[in-house]
Amino acid sequence: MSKHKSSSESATGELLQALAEPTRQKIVEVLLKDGELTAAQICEHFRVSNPAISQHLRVLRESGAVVVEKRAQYRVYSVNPDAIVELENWTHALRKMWERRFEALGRVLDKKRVESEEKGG
Amino acid sequence: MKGGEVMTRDIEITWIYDAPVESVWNAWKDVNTLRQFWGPSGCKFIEFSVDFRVGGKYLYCTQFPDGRRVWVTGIYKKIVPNRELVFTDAFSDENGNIVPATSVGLDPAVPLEREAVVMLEPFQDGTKMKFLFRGVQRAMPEEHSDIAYTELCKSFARLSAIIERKS
Repeated sequence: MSKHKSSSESATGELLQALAEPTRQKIVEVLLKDGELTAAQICEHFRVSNPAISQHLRVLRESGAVVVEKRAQYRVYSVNPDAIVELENWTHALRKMWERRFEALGRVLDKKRVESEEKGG
Repeated sequence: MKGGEVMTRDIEITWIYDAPVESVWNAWKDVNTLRQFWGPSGCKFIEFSVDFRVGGKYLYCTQFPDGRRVWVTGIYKKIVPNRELVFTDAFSDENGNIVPATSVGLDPAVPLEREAVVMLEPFQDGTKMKFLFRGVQRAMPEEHSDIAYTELCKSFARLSAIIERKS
């Protein structure tokens, strides 16, 4: 629950941590499906099984995964598009890193193959 | 709205009843009426005891549709008949010992005790009820308030159905 984020990495970390919990994943999915919901409407989706929705909503809001907008007496929650972009950027960076590693691995394998072909004559 | 601090919100609801002040007042002191309108929707009261006097205690147990049971207790702080009622609200064990919100699976940011203020006044042919709900030790986190707000409105609507004149 830190108030300051020193880098974009820690913001991503907070996002991933928030989304690691199954109920919170489900809340985000429900919000993606329905667009905008009040806290009470979100609760309706979990009516029987989960009393801690307000806590999960708070964690999601603090991590930046969801945003809240005030409408008259109600506050409506929706998925923060910036959070999705942030996750996308992160997975994109991961993929780039893996691609570079695979390229390097490919070069090593190619070299080995050439060597063994030369040896085998 | 991204940030670490717990955002807080007190609840304030004004409800108009098409019923005399005495009817609304009696609903708050009569356990049989309380059982019908108070508490979260879809739940039923297993037990409900009320000692309606200043310093008196109430204790109830409400059962959720999934079988989960939650005990709630409080003390009547102020009683001015037909005018004002102040009582505390806290989660407890079955003996009325206060327990933190976390022990019923709620947000740790929810204060140990809450305080409710009911203010009544005649309004046109009926009654205006002003209801305040706030944290005692600290303010209530807004997500909890948002959910409580909706549940309270449902409660007050149930009371309307019970006490309003049938036309």
